[in-house]
Amino acid sequence: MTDEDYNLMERYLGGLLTSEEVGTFQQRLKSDEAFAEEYQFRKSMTIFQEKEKRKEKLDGIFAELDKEFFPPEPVPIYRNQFVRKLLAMAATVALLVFAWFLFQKESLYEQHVYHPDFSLVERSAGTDLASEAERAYIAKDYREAEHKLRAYLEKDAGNTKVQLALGASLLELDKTGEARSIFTNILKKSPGFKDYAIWYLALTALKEGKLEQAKEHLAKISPSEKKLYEKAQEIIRKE
Amino acid sequence: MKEQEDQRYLIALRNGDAAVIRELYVKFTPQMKRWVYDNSGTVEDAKDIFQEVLETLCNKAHDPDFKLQNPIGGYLLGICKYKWIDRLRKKRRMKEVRKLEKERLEEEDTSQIQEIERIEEEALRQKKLKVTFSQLSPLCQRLLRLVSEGISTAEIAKQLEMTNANTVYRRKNACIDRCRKLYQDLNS
Repeated sequence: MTDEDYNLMERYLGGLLTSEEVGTFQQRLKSDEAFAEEYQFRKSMTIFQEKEKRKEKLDGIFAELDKEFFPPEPVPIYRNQFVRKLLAMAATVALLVFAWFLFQKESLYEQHVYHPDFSLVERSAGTDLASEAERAYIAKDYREAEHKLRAYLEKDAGNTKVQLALGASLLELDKTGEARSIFTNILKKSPGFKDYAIWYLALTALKEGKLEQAKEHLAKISPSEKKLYEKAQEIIRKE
Repeated sequence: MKEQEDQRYLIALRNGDAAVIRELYVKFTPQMKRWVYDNSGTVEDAKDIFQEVLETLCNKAHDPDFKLQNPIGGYLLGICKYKWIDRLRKKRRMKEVRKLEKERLEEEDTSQIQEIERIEEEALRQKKLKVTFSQLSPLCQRLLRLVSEGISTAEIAKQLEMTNANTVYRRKNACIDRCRKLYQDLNS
């Protein structure tokens, strides 16, 4: 990155570029990954500093409006008379709730989730980023895994195993919308990973509580993918 | 276009225009409060969440690449739901989380969900930058503030007792490098 690049970013963020320069700048963001990454950092920093400048003023406005629109809940007069009784009842309820939690069933997703081993490092020739992504993924640190896997995909967008791992991480983070579009895309474009894509589409449906939709996907898993097939059959047999 | 009209709310959040921000409270707090109450929150929860939502929208108000794609009400309620579900998840109230996630998926389309996830990513970056910035030396913090306020390098050199504008420029870059390093360490 050169001084000229930094200068360009500052001028873009300050709205000082001509429309032609803006077009060239935006094109470069798409084609130059290091430039885009540095721009994202500088943009976030500019946002942070701009907000800080007006923080005191805004906090004052919010505080005034909060008083008007979120008045404290009035304490009911009868509450003190019954406070002991309520505490006793609350303790009983708490015990019941605790017992309920102990016996609460896991969701269908939690019962059946299974993430196949994708061996990212082997596939991607052991780059640092791939190793870091795999470490986070195996450690179930899905937020970190998402961050690293996205960074990896910026360099190697066609790596289906990394795409699958990213989809799985998003699924664990409840970002089912984006996860589904990744798995659907793999299903369309990577016949070699068809069964994995179907398995994850089924898990996405389970996460959303759609058992019947999950079963429809699972019925398409080929018996040659033994482990996935067995897991699929377990779910299909569910009432 | 509703979203073009609603752009004024973002401008108000950017500039601290109390009258227009008040309109946001008038229009959207009733619906938002009702939703939080209906999902086992209190008045305090609703207040905290609404303020977090406005702060999150402030980030986008300062983002030159962000344009409203939908009316602002959709963003407000969408971000509110995202934050409340996240809060319940942290409290491990998983049954409620599953129910609300399901409802959210049924009500919102994929593009809106993805856009709100991107907005939340910027909110996370801002939280990290707040930590990062506080770890910079007082001199760096002061220098970056003066630059951000648009003070000329000659004036900054005078205020910070630096030799000349070139020194200011070099120190500024060193401070940004340091900030980037601290930020990356936080991410690693």
